[in-house]
Amino acid sequence: MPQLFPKKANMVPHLSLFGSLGGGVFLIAFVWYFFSPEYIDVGYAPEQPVPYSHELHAGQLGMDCRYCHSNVEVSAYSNIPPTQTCMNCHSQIKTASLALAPVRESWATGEPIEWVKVHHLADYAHFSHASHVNNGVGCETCHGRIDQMEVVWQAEPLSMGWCLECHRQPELWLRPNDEITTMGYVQPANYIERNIERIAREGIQPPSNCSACHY
Amino acid sequence: MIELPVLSDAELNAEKPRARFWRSMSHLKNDAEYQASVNSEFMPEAAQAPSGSSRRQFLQLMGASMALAGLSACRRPVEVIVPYSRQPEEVLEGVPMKYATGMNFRGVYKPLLLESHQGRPTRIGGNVEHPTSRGNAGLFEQGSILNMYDPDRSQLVLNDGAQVTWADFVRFVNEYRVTASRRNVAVLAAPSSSPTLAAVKQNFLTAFPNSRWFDYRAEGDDMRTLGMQMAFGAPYRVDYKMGNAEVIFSLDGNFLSETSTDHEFITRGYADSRRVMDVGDTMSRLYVAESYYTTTGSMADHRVRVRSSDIPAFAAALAAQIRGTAALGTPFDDHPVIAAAAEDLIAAGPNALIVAGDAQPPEVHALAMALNSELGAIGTTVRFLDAGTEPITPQAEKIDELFRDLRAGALDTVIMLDVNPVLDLPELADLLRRVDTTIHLGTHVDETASSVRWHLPIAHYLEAWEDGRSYDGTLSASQPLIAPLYEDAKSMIEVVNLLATGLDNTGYDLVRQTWRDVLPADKFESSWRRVLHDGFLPNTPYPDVTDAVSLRPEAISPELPVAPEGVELVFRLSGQVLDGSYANNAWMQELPDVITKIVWDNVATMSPKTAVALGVESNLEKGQHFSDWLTLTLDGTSITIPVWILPGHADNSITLDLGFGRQIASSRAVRKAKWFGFDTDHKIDIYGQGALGSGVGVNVSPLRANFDNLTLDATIVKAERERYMIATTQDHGVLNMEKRPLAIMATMSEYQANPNLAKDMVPTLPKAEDWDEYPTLWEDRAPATDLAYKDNPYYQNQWGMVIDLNTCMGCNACIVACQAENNVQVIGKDQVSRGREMHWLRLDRYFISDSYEIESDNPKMMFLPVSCQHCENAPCESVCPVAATYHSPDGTNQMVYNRCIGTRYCANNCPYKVRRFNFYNWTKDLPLTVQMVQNPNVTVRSRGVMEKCTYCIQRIRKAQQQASLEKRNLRDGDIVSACQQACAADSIYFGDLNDPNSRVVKMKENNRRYELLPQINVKPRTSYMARLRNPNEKLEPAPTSA
Repeated sequence: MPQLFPKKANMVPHLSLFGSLGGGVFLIAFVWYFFSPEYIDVGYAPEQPVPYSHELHAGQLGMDCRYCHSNVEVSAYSNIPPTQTCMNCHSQIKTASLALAPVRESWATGEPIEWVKVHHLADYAHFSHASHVNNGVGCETCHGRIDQMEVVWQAEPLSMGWCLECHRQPELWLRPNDEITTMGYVQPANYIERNIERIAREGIQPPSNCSACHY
Repeated sequence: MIELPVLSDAELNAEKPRARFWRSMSHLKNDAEYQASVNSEFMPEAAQAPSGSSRRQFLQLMGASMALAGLSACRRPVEVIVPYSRQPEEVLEGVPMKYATGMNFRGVYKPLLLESHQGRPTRIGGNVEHPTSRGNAGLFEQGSILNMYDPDRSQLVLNDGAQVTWADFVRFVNEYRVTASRRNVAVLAAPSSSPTLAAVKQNFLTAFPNSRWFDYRAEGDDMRTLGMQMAFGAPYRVDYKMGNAEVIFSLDGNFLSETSTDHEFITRGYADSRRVMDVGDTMSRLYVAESYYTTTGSMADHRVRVRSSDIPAFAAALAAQIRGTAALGTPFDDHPVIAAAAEDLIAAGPNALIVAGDAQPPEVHALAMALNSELGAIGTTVRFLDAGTEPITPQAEKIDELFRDLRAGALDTVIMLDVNPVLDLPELADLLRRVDTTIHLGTHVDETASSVRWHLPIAHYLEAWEDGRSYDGTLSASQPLIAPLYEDAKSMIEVVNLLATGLDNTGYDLVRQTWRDVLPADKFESSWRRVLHDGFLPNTPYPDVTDAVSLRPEAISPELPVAPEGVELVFRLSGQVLDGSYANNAWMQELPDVITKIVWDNVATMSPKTAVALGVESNLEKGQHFSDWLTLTLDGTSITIPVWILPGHADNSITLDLGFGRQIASSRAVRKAKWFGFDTDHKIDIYGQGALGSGVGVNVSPLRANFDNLTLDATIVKAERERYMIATTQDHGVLNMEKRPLAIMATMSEYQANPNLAKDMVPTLPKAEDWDEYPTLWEDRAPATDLAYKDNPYYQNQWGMVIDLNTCMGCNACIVACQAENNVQVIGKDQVSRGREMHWLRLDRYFISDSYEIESDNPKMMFLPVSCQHCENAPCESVCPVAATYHSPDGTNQMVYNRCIGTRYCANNCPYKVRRFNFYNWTKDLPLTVQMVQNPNVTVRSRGVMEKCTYCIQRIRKAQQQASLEKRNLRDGDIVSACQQACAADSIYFGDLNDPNSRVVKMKENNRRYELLPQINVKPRTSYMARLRNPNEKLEPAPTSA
């Protein structure tokens, strides 16, 4: 009976073994990265009902974040401003702008503008803006260079591992409270020593146990 | 394998039990059926696949749904943020606001403090500053929020069943009013204390001169007030000062009942009189003679089982003993308890108190007051307020007159305001159809609504401007927290005003109009705002007339005949659905009854002996209770109702709960099976089959003649029907620890002889481990001593709880509070009967008999609230394969829902059986309005996730964040758990064990403190304080050797 398989067929078990191992490693690496919030969520930039430009308002005009997001220091939730806040200026400026038509309509009818949520935390993760901005976490640290965003997009993964990076080593990220809303803040050379000193003085201890956020 | 020392049989038997603790008749018998159902962690049914489908089918379903879920999860859901257009003043998104308001509860105003999230009220608490509430809200107040979000609430004005609008009704009224002076009108209204309603009512009576108005109460007359009318000639309001009482005798008087209008402060006062902190403290003594085993009976030091019909004779015998007059020839003349109690009451003198019950005739109430007066107690333990009530005509007479007029055709208009009389008087339906104009203002399209011309939806009290007077008379105003969910919903004030004046004024204007006369004219606006802010106007109680009252002679020795033999029926308000007004409230339907622990049903409750005499049974079969049926017939009306056997119930007496068997129309579609029957969710969707309260239980009200709460004339026969499954939680979560007490009860004299008896009674570890020295506990002997824990900010606070069983009266308020705070879901009768109930806090009710022999005639009773004990050595933590349940550095045991994969190992390993598993996605199909009641600070759990008490971790975190923002440390009392907040008896203490001055540490140091199952060394954070009894030594001599 002739040989049914050529000699090099002996390679098949080895190849398939290495192939499955390599394939497994590849699959893990593939899922690890491509299914991660870093790949899926970062860069999410949905179209908004009003083409509001943070680049113009926060960047060029230099408005402080808290002019609109006024609750950020006292509430867990940083508010999206009511139409009223837009109309503070836009009842005077650009009153005929087409882009602002939905704002004027909302102001006239009382119907709210439905903004699309960009930064999404899961419902089982409880986060407080007030706790962060009062303890030296800048807007920029989590939201990126908003002052350069024509359309707001998600700059950081907002994943748990990403949160813990800072919670475990806050001295690498904190800034003085009067620089919270500064965009493009440059830390001084000795900032780690400064932060360590502040952390000790103010007793800043970011919790890293589960029940700090999950309940 | 680690060898753990186990107790040998000899050692076990050597532990001589002092008393036998048991939870049900099945437990007492302890047969194979019972053993089978309690020995495993889950009930036999609970661990099976969800309703109806086999395990294989379940797996197929899961596979299919996984595939579908995988596909649907590829898309990121788009969420929108909807800010205000115009920002309301003072509203901060994410920061809940609190508003004072109040509700009308059985004619008495209950002051409340509401939490509202951007205009969405979610949680009800008592008004902290109000003199009657002081921060406590009973279970009906707390549950009432779900009445507003009830998806089956009446939403539209109906004219002959057709949908019309409020404007149509206004037009109709204006035409109708043209002939107002000639109209013969009868108005049946819910009792109310509102000054504004009184004012518009006056206008109405002026506009309609041939009208009569009466308050309609489904439960019948307020016997206590009728009794006062008899005793003093005027219907004075009784204000018991329980805190001053040393000896209390209750004649069928369930004064601790959660349905009573003065529940919070009676409970608070009674708890004060029972509070014992050390051996030197004294405690009041309570004697109870009653038929049903009530919460008051459970607190009794001496309880006599006696038919309610025999109470008048019993009262006469007690009076004779107290007065030292000759025996009257009643069967109770020589009753040992009467003799001893009389002596005790005389010795207590001004600090004595005799209370009569709702089912008793006015004569008994009058005699009780006469005795109080003779003992000198009037002024100390009982005071009287003049609530301005007009002399009362019994409701039965007024209804008789109404029926006479209706039959004669003498009435052309009947108006029913926030009442549902057809539920109690079914023959009224046909009579109403013959009347020219019938108007019904109600919460649902219910029994009454279907037989009237005009049905109007009523606005919930959280949607309307109202006012009222609390039990003590304090004038209070209540503001709405939300615009009416349904445009046409109007308050009673607005509807009566429209009828009276033809003007469609708003409730706001009407209420302010009334208050203009109350508040100083020059500062009206500022005073009005103050009243709204506080919720009440201080120093406006009803006049105290205690010193002015004088007993009328007929009250001193009223005629109290001896009742004939026979089986009596006693009717009472339900502790779940009240008079039926809470019947469509999922929380209340699923609330286990205080005593029987039955959910989603009402039953005919009787003693074991009566059940034998009637030939009926109720047995445990495969973990579920099945009961026989009884047919009760009275004057040609009959009902058929399942039976329930309650140890300690009086013989020859049957107790029936009102308010069940409702028929409520629903406009929502009935849910059907989807996916060719593979989707079984419709089986567990309690909102999916029309109104959830429809057809639950049996309406017993029509059986009553003349609203009598007591009758001996009924014919009672066993009905030949298939046995009926009753869902009760009394055998759920049984900690099968025979002979080792979990609930500890001792007498005062035993306690004085051995102050540490609680610790001596619980078993100890074979190798002693001294772990109860708080607060150093965590520091030295914590299971995790690594730096990661100690280096955590939460480490500084170590949370703990103490529950004082001595003042826990099992009123259920904590359970509803927990449910509202923690988004605990309702699952329906079928699921509860399988042991899948979700309540994080269960209130175990134990019967206690003195001997170890089988004896169930008159057991004692006590309550043991059990939720997660937050063990230091938590057995659940070590078995979780994914560390979803873990130990927080603050010493609490927490669940991380997003980690949980639903192995249920933790529940298997929990010695206290307090973990709850989401066998289904209970929230998936909640109606939109019901979703609105969810607390946004607590995760809404999904299918396949374990959950349990978290010590209200969201409140802890919130207080910590607040303290951090204010740059201060946490203070004792910053954090109040939901159950603690609800507890009117102040039985629950929660706080930081690291703070040596905190109340919880003081309680932990108390000598009555003990832990559940200390012998297994799990080191629970929740401790209990042993229950004490204060028996009369003449009746129960103290044991000679301690």
